[in-house]
Amino acid sequence: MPTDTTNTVTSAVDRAPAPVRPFLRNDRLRRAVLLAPWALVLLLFVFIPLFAIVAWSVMTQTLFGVEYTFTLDSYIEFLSSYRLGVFLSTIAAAILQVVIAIVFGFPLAYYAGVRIRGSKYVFPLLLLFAIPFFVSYILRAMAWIGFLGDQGVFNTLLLGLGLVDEPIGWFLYSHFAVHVSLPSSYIPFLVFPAWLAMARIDDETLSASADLGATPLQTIRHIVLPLAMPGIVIGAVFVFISTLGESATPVILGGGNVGFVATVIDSAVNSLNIPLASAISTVMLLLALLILALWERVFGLEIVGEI
Amino acid sequence: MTVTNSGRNRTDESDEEDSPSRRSVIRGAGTLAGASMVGGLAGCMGDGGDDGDGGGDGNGGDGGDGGDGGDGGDGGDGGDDKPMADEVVYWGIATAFPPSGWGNFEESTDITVEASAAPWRQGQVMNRLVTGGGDQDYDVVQMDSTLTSTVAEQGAIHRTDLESLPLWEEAYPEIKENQHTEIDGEQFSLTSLINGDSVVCLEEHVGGPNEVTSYGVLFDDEFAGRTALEAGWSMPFPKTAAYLAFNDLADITAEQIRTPDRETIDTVIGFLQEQQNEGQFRTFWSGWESAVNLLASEEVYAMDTWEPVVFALRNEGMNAYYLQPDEGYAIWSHGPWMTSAGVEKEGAVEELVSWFMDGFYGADVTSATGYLTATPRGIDYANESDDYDGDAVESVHNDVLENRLRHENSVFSDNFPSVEIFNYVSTEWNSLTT
Repeated sequence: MPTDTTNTVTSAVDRAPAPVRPFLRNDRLRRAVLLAPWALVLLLFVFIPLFAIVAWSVMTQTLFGVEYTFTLDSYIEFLSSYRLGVFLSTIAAAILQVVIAIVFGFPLAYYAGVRIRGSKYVFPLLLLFAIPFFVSYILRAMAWIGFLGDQGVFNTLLLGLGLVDEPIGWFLYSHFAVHVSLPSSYIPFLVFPAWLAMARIDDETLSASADLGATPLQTIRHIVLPLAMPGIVIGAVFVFISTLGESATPVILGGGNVGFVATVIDSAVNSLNIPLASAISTVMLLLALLILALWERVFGLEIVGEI
Repeated sequence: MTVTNSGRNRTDESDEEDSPSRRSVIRGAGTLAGASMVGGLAGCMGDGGDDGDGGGDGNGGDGGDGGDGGDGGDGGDGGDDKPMADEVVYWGIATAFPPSGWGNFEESTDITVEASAAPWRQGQVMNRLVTGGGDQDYDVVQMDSTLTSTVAEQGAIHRTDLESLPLWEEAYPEIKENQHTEIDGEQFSLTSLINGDSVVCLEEHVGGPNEVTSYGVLFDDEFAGRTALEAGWSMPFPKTAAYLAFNDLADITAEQIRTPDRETIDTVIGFLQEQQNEGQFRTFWSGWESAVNLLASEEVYAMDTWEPVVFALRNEGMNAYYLQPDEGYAIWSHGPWMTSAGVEKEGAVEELVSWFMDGFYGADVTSATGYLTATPRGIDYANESDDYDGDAVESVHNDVLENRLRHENSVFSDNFPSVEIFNYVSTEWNSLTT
């Protein structure tokens, strides 16, 4: 069969005009042609805007724009103010969300991808996790007020059961409220790629594990987890990055007690301080590049294509 | 049994043969995907916080259902020799929208209004107008009057031709004398709405309007964790400054409230930071729905917020009132700006500006929000209409004029005295709310 394919390709190349044939036979050139449109899109819509952000970060603020200078003042302003603390606490919050997503998302992905694979219930189950995305993220956050408020579901339940004498105030407008609400938005980011990776594990591999006497937990530990790891890691990165960019939930449910770096950037933009907003964004980009570098070192970037 | 990550050892011999080429393509795709992730992160940054819109739908009251009395708009002859259009694109704070809709204007002029809500965020609006093409996307923008000179200097808005607006003659003196709409003797906006803001209180929890007469209710230990401020600084800042000044808690003059300096900003925000650390504030609200919900659910008992919230709460049967503060009110005004795009249809824009000064808009908005409109025509219209309470509208006009705008301690603060001060107060305030 591989021979047939090769022949087909060869004959197609042979049918091409003679001047073009050397280019078609050049693997590197073919790859370049295949990737060129996407590279162009990335250049126009990703790299040039990114370059603009980096460039603005070293310029000087004017009333409605920037002056073309080179200064690190915006970085100094970022690192020497409360914003650095917000930045670090946002990273901590993102890590926490990744942990929560793995704790709750992995079993769900395992159930859908391994235990009931092929079942007619897999799609409806996964669809359940997509439903929240049909609702505005602001409304999703506001819906939690009905659960966490003084007259919310949880306090009403606790009061009704006689477990507390008065409503628990820290349920709402607190770190608790923010961290309880975010997983409903971000667990799906982990569930889907993890499920995809698990669904591709051969039945024979799982059967062989059982035949060799492995318990279900041992199979998860030695078979499922390693094979699904790329999907889990990709999901974790999605959760991490998305949490870093979260802005509405901390404002709506944090009540001024929880700051995320996206709100700080937003505030800088609203204060007409574009260089500062750009400097903070640049630091965030460097963080993302660091994650990519670590990913490449540990897993290799090719696993993105293999999921 | 050992299985390595990514299942790389599952390849057969033939796969091994072409794997370098395949892998390099996959690696390339992975690199692009990685780059996309970085780009995605950039996309995540800087788009946040837009939830603080200008008040949601602004339907805070029962302003009637359209009105059948009086005429819709006889105030302008702005169409004379000036470019007309069959549509005006309007951008403004949602609480300034006519609660009964734009039908009255559209029927009386055959001009359609394409309206969208602007956020109550001064920097964002100015950025949009000056650098974001907003002066070309919108014909009329209704926003904080104190920003008028700044956006005019940038060429985003243009002079108002008073000669084409005969209703200007009927405007209240306070409207005509609003210096924030005038630059070097020329009007660059009119004041379509003006009010004195204070604090909404729930009588059941904090006492009645005769017992509570100070902004101190926001900072009272008795209500710790049950008060809230707006997330933006422009309204809570002058109220707090007035509280500190009036009660001799800080050395702040009226001029420093009107045009804050760094020292005043440090004093006010330092005080609020202490209060915040002691758990005085339940939250910092943004957006109309959030403001109403906080009080309606009794999460907070006293809150620095807009007057239409009182109307909304009363409509829900709640006993809420707007504080009459000894420290004076925080005055603000909105005015319609004619943008660069609006100049191209100046006649239509002037029709809309005239309508803002006329009876229907006056009766409709005042009935639902408690805001004062430019002329007494709203009272006349309400008296002639079955849909509005003329006495109530007149009462609001008198209250705003006599008790708020002419209150000896009321202050009309400049929300953009300079870019440095705007930047400083925004930054310091953000440290409080994050």
